[in-house]
Amino acid sequence: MMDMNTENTASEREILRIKEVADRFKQNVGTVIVGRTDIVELCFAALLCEGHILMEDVPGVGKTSLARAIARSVKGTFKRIQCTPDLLPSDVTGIHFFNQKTGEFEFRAGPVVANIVLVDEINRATPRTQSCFLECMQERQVTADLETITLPRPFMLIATQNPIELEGTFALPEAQLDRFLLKVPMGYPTTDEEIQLLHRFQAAKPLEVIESIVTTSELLELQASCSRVYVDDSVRGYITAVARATREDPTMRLGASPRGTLALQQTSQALAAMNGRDFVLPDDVKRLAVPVLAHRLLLETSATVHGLGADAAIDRILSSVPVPVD
Amino acid sequence: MTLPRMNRMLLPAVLLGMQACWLYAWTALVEAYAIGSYTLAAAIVLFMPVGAIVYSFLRMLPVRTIVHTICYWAIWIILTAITGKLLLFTSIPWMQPEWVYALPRALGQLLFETRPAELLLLLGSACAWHLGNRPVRKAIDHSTVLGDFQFGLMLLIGALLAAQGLDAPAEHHVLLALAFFALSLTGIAITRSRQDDSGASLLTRRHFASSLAGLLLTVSLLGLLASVAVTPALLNAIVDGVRHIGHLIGAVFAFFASLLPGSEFAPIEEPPPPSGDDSELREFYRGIPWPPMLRRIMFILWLIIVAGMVLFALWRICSQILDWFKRRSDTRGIEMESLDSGLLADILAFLLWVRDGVSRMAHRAMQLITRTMPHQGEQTWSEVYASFVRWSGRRIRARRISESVHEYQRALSQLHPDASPELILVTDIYARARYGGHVPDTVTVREMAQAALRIRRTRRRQTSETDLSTERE
Repeated sequence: MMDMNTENTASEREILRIKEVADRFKQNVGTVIVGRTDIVELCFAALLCEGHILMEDVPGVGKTSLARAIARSVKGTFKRIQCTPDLLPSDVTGIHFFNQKTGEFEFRAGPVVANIVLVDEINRATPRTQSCFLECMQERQVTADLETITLPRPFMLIATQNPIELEGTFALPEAQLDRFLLKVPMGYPTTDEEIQLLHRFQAAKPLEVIESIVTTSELLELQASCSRVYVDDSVRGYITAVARATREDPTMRLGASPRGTLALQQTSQALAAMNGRDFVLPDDVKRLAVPVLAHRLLLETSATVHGLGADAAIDRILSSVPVPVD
Repeated sequence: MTLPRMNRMLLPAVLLGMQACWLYAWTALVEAYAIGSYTLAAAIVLFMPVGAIVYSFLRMLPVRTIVHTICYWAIWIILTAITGKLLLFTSIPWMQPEWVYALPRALGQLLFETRPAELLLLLGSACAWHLGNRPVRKAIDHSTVLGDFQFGLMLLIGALLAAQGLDAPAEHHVLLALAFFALSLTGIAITRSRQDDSGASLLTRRHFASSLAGLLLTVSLLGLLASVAVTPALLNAIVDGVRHIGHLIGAVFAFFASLLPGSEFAPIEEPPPPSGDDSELREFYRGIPWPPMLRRIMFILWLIIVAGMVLFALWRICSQILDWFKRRSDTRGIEMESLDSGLLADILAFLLWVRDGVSRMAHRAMQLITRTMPHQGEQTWSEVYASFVRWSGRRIRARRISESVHEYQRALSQLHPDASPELILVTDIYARARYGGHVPDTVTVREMAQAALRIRRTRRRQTSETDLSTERE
């Protein structure tokens, strides 16, 4: 019935597989996290892009639970790092120790060497320790005592931070924020969701019984398929136009980086595939612009004083950039 | 007849009356000057209520708006021909078809000769017929009546000055002006009271028309009393001055009227040329061998342009003055719009209106041509969607530039839930082709085109049903 543009694009079977796994993932994580399907969807999109997630919100809204549920849904290695001001880089990357039996120095990998790493309260770590995440986030490797160790694939870092408690915390530098694919605000549940939460957690502990639904090798295949989702030139132009608009906007001190533009395309591809499409729509870009770009932007002081947030600024930009339609 | 029904008919009747006043003033003036009678003017004004009644009946028919319009104007053609037969061509027997062609022939021969009676009947009745359906077609609110009051007032003043300049009898103009003011104030009071039912009087609500009327009355009375008290000669001098200004303005109209052939009035004495004798220059211009038809066309175009400019300028000045009164009486601290920018805005709005009208006509002509021409080939998916978006933009809601096709589809679906499946189908096929490179085959494109057609039909059916239900209510 239709002429397919099959040149180096994901096949229908691959797209169906991604959609099926995405649905199962949402259902699986949904047993722990009540509601918030949009956030769970974003998290799976980040998994498909092998990107890192920064979860920011007040304590007790389920950031760590969500991170753990995501980690448990993937059948791979999972490590957790609880950040404190006295955490050292070597506590993250690993150390060389002298093995008295063999009489040699051996490398003991730190908790960052895992498929999924939960970095809890990342802003409590000192800048020195925070910087040790830069290399592993971007290059998927760590260097300890002049030795470089490649991290296992897929590698995903899920960091949480609390924006309220500022005492004894260190704000993440822009370079590190830019390395996070998405920033996900959790938000409070609705009344119905909260009642459902009480019911569900009254006697059971869903997090302990959650099953993994995808292996790491499967996830790598899905990632490869996802990167072949078709992006029309006009949609690429739209992504670029949005990114450029953030740089030219007078209320912005720092606009979206090219890495942000690339992230917007990757996540749009993932979202399209999760919805069973083998092509990206401008709607995907619009849907993801805020979670992908907002944390990369720096607003002018005057805009901040007037109560304008990055989310609102992006919404305003989206309402002015023309969508490609013939 | 029940009271609510009478209430509903009152405003259209008032608006018709207001329009009839200035239309009669002008048609009677032209008829008196060019033909020397008043029978046509009365007949022309009668077209207006007849048009209103005919249009009311036509609207009850469950057909498309274009059919209403065609039927409405077809009836005008018949009525104009019959009126012409009764008033102008009484000597031609009913059985001979000459009286049917007489009026169109007068229009067709405009470039060669002027037949004032036929032309007046044609143009005047068309104007009256168009104005007749206006109160029925248009929702009459406060601003509509105010706008008609301003416009009618200027036309009445113009008619009065023209009559003075032409030395034409103008007794009926006073009655017309009184009737016009009475109807206008009635209309304004009714619409205002519908807008605000707080029960306060018009003056306490600082209403524009009543404030203006009160102001004019007070100033006139006080001025008159003061003038008479100081010296009667002063009053006479003011009256003479006003009359002189009126005569000067009337001379302008007399100049335009002198261009029309068949004047039965004595020509106005022209003042001597300001300097020298220009008879040689006039002879030189007359000696230029212009073709008579070209001369005639240029004359008609010049007349239209000059008359249009004068009317436009008068309307604009009147509008500014009344707007100033309105602002003075209603609000504080609001900035006055300058005359230049206002005029520019009006000209731009007028040009945009002309452009829209021309493009609409061109679009309809293209549609007609494409329908009548043999089918050249299938439409592409992009053509189908572009055509659909153009149509929905005009009839339902225009797509914003930042709106994606699916957002637009959701907005349209909210407005027309019945057409939601078709909207989704059209949008999905377009999106798959446009952003996914899945070019649909001819069968799919045909499905898409049929879905777009179904959306249009659904919309038309809903519009007709809404019109009918509104009419019944």
